[in-house]
Amino acid sequence: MGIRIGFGLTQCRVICPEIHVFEDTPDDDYKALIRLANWALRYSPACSLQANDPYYSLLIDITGAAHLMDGEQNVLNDIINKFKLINIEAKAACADNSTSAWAFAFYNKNAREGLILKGDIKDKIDILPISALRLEKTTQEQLYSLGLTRIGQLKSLPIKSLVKRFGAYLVRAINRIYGDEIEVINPVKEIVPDIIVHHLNYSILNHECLELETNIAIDKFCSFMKKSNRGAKKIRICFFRVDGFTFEISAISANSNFNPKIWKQLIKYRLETVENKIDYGFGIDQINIYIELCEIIKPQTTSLDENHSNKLQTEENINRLIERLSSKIGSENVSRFRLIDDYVPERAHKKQPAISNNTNSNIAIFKEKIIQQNRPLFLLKQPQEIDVIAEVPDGAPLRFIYRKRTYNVKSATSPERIVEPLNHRNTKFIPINSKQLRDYYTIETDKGLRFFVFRRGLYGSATSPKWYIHGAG
Amino acid sequence: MNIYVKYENDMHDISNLKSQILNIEGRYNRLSDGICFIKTGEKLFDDALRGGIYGGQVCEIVPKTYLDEISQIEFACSLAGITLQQRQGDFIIISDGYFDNEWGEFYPVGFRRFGVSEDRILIINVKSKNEIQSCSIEIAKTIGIGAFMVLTSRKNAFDFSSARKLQIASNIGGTPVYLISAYGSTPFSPAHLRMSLESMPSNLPNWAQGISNKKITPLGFPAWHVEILKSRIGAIGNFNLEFDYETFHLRSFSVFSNRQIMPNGGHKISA
Repeated sequence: MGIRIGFGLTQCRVICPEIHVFEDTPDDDYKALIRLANWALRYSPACSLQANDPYYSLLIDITGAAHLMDGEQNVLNDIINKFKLINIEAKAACADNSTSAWAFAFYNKNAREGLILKGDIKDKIDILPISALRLEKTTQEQLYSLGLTRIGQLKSLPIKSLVKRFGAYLVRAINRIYGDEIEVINPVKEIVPDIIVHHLNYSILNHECLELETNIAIDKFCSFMKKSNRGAKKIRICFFRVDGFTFEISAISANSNFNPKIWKQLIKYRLETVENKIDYGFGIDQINIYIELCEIIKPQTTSLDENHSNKLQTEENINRLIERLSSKIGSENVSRFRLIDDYVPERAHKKQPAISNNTNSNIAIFKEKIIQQNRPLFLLKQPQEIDVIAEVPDGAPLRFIYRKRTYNVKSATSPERIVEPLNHRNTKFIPINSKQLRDYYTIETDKGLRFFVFRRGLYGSATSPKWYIHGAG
Repeated sequence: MNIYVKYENDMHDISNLKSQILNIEGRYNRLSDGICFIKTGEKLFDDALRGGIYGGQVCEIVPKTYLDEISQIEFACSLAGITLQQRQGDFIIISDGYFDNEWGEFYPVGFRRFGVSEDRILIINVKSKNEIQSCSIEIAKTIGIGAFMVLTSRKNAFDFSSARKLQIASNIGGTPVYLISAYGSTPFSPAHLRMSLESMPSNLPNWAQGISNKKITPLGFPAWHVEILKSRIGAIGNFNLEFDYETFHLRSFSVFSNRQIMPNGGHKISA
């Protein structure tokens, strides 16, 4: 049509009076580009994006991945055709390094059909315009004013003077385009070493087919893991739609395995939970399984002892249950406790997903009888201040008010003094402030209710101590 | 050939010995195939329940007043503690968040006094009624779980059909299920056992029997007044029970007005 970037609206309307005008939304453009970058992961796991307006581009590193689609030309054709389907006119070039590929994609007319550059391409780079170096606007203008319009002209100039006049970036850009320096690409998703690609000959448009094809992909993945004697712990499955969209599900197993039954069950649960949210669009045509966490499976011996084998079976059942529940309601909702070596109650434990299977209870301080018997069942996230009548200086509360209710205390344990943590590693030489002292009491009301309260500070110090409730039960 | 016969005899002897040990210990007392019960340690209470808490059955525990919510969880934990002394597997707690909001989060070290190690505890947080039902049924039917506790604040978290499903699921799994509801239960619930309870002031510890004249007395074991509202095969009745931290079992007691233990453990006024 002849309309180009940089034209004014009036100019555009002269060329095309029926033109529709919309406001520029760079954020939406960026989001759309991220979506496309995720979708382009179908070609290679290393895909990054460039969102420097007007140079919206994707860099896909197809090193070692092109053979999966029968060569580079097929990859480029597929990219151009798939983008055409979603009304995006793409230009694609394939070269030895990402900088020159980018330059040829933007500044070579043949890039519309997919351009492949092989062998010595230095002559072709020489004739590219300076803007192919992706320089700053001021640098470009300076170079133009000096009559330097082609990259080849810069090559013949002494490096020292170029650095002195235009900065080191220009020299680095020249080195990159000629392949003397590698441009590191920043992939949109973390690159995982093991990926199972499952191409489909048709587009999936319903849940049954999706489940069926996913199961086939899982069979592939499990046999692959079995061959290498590795068990997967965490996988991510990415479904690629024909129209440039993707969606993902992930599954975690309680223990590393390559059992297709387990993985199929887990994925089935995950798919059931997202069934209503899946938008098939024009159909799904590729399924990729990314193995995010795996380990070598060690040979296991079965026990002849009945109790031991029962225990193993019990563990196995619970592991499977944890997997099922994690798939159903999310792994963050299925948790176990991990104890931390700390006397301060709120710092002594941590909740973590049960699927991570990392618990440690063998900590000496929790074997102390006083700690075992005096800790409550429930611990408040934040200790809450209470009004207390207590014997001075260090008696247990006689009466207290909590949530507008008065409780009379009948029994209590003797106090357990805990010093609040200091922000210094070596506490040996730091004097302990009375404010940092907590005297904990487990008290019981005349109705038999138990509370875990503490007094912060000491009577007789500069500030009067305060009482807090920290737990119940 | 001789060796083979000898081996057979040995196996026979060992299995006989095993069954004798189990009988002496009285742990897995099977009434019939697939049903076992867990003795709580208090004979009268066990007799009322016809043996103890049954595995593969739902036991509902309801509070008498709002403040007894914590007590009912304490009591359920004590039952779970007793169960876990006798069964392998984990202690699974499923909660809809009400108790967490009201009283804070579960504190793992607090379970130790009931004989439950924190690495055996698995906490499941659910948000909706459907989730609590489906996850509870899923857990209850899993074989190999030590004890299972369901905490719910929803009035109709388990309607008749879902409660029945839970009962059937627990039959399959063989795990005792402690269903704790903040609101009590519907009268037609198919639970095997239903108890209501309220907390009681604890008894004085043995070492402190002579110092009861103080304003604040030493803390004893947690105590509850338990009423069996419904028992499928047992009897109803009232019990004063406390949980012994030393031996991890329940025992009954009755107290005089000065909070000293009655002679003979106060069995006279028990059911």
